[in-house]
Amino acid sequence: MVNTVVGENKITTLDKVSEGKEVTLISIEAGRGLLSRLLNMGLVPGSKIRVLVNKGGGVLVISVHDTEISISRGIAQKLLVRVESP
Amino acid sequence: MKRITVALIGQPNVGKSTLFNALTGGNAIVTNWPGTTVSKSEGVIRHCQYEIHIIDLPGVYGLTAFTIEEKISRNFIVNEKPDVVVVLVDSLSLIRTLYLALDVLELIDRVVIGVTKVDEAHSRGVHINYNLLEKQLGVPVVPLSAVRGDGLRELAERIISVYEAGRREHTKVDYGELSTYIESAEALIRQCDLGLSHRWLAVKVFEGDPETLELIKSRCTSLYEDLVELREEASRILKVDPAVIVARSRFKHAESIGKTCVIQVAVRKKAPSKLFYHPVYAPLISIAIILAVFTLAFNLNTGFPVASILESVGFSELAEAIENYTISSLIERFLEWSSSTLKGLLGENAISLFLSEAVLGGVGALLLFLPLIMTVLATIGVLEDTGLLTRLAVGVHTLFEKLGFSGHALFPLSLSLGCNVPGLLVARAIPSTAERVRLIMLLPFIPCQARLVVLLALATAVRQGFLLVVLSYIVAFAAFFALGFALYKWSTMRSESVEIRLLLEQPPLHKPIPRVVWWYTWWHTKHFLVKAGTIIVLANILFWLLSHVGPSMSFTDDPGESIAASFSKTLTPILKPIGISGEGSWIIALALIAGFIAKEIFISTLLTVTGASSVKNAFTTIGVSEQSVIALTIFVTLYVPCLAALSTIYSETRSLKLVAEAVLLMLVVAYTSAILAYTLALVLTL
Repeated sequence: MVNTVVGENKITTLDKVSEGKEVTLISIEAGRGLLSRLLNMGLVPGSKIRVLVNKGGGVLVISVHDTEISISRGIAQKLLVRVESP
Repeated sequence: MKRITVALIGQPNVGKSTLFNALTGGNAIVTNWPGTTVSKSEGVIRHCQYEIHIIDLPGVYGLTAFTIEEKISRNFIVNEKPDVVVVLVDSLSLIRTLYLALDVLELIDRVVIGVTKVDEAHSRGVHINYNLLEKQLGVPVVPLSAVRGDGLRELAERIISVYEAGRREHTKVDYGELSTYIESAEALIRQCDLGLSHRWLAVKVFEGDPETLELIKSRCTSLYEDLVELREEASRILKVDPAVIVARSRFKHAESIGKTCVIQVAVRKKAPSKLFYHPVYAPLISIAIILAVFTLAFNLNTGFPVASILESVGFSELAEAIENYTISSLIERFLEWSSSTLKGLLGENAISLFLSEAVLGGVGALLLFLPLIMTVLATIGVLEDTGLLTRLAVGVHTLFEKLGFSGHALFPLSLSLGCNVPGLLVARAIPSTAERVRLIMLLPFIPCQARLVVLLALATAVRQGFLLVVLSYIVAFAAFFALGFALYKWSTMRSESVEIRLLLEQPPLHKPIPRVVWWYTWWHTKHFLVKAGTIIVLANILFWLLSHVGPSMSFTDDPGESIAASFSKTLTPILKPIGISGEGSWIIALALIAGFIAKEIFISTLLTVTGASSVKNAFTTIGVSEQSVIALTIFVTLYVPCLAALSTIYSETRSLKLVAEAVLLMLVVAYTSAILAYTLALVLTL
């Protein structure tokens, strides 16, 4: 495998990812109840998340494992993701 | 006949209720799960020599029990040990929904997997190799289409064959770096047999499932500390929450199955309709849609507001024509006819009065409200089935957020416009407890169809009746949101958990399927019948007796001589501030007490006691001014909706204190608003 570094991998929270971007979920900073719900809904570290809607305010809409999920910004701030720049 | 008990489980939105209805033909018995108000549906199907009892478990994303629904589903499967568990997975998102199936497959040996919505999947270019899926999962897999009725027979056959075939090996998911820890935990758990898969219990320990930990703590006390320590060690050494590793591994397993069994042919993927997510348009569009559909439903029910608008601009004939053919007037006419027929048959005596007024009155109230509520429920059913409702919830979220509610509040709010009881029940789905309690306290302010009927009757007694009804709705919603905001601010000040969260799956948008809408409507209607129905009928009988029996326990024709009257006479001073005093004012007090039980008795009490033919005449007889009628209307809109709603608040919160607080809040708000309305009306008319 050829190891070519193409751009930098950026770690950020999901609420800062712009519309149309695909990111990888790294970790979730939430209490047991919310964590369990998020994991069971398919928001598992390692999952690819596509941000469908993010207007910089209000609710975000994401697609994960072929499912559209809307989440409030507060929850999005608890999701740490890696942005793979091309 | 052999009896097989089957638990039906699936994640939300996989089409579980639809399938359950298709299987049982809508003939389910709806009860509550013991100790909760979560409904339990149970249906029976007969196939060959078998009687298959299907229990519909609440939709859950996994078997780890953090919410009431999860607890019920988990505990039913674990403790009640059904003969067969049917897990539904969604063909449109197979990988994600297989997650729950794997959780079940690690625990249960008799499982059938049902793959739902295969008709839809096909048209979206999703092709599933069912034979391969069956081989990989090690249990029967049945493709299903509830809407077309495909696969239902086969599902029954597979349930029977699994029941007869007996045990199989539990599925084993590879938990990677956590494996050695799980094996150690498994070895520990083996020392203390709990009659459940040791491996599954071990996995649940690492997932932090509260119920499993509780079980081990109470039954295998000596192991508890060791297991908790093992989990902490795993967490420390692997530097990840073990729950995350479990979820990730299970997903990996589901993904590997999905990769081999699903072929996705590229079809034009619809972009998500961004209209519903636009920061400015979304709330506007959402509110416009909500207003439009409810106006339609209200009109069908009562003619309000279209008939009222027509009348106020001078088309009174057209308005009357519409009003004559609304659902409520059609039923009212039918009830009047049956009541007078009954009186004619039995003559005017205590028994015929009792039957025609107390019993038929109560049943009639139920009959009257049933279709009204069903129209509203069907409206919401359409919104729900098409997938619009969750989009509307997102649309209003940003707006609601500022007022202390989340978009989740939209479902209970809109159901409450039909009847507060189902509205209060669905408030359960709100993730934040603080928000849920706030909502339960305030939902009774939302005028239901029963109150709309009473408001419309009261409106006939004033000149600007239409405006009065509109005003009542505005006041009701203003009270709801203002108090919601105040309570929200109060809980922020006490620094309780206050983050307003929204976490909603958005099912794909599609055209409404009439059968599914009907199932939805009927399912919620059953709730209204079971929960509110009995209370309405019994309360009506009780109230009739109280207003027809004198203090000496003898029957009286004159309600003025009854126990209820003598009690209400002591209450009349309260009515002074809204300008109601004098000889007949006790009748209003009596009607208000009646309205406490169920709103609709307010009007019938007013009419029977005064003997007047119309509400307007009744007020003239008692001597109530127009300003007082306005104040009274506002009071009726805001004070306690009915006993059924109160009993639901109790059953949902199990707190008498909360019920008392809610009643007090409603009475205080209603009384102050009424006095304010009276004062304003006086000022404006002078």
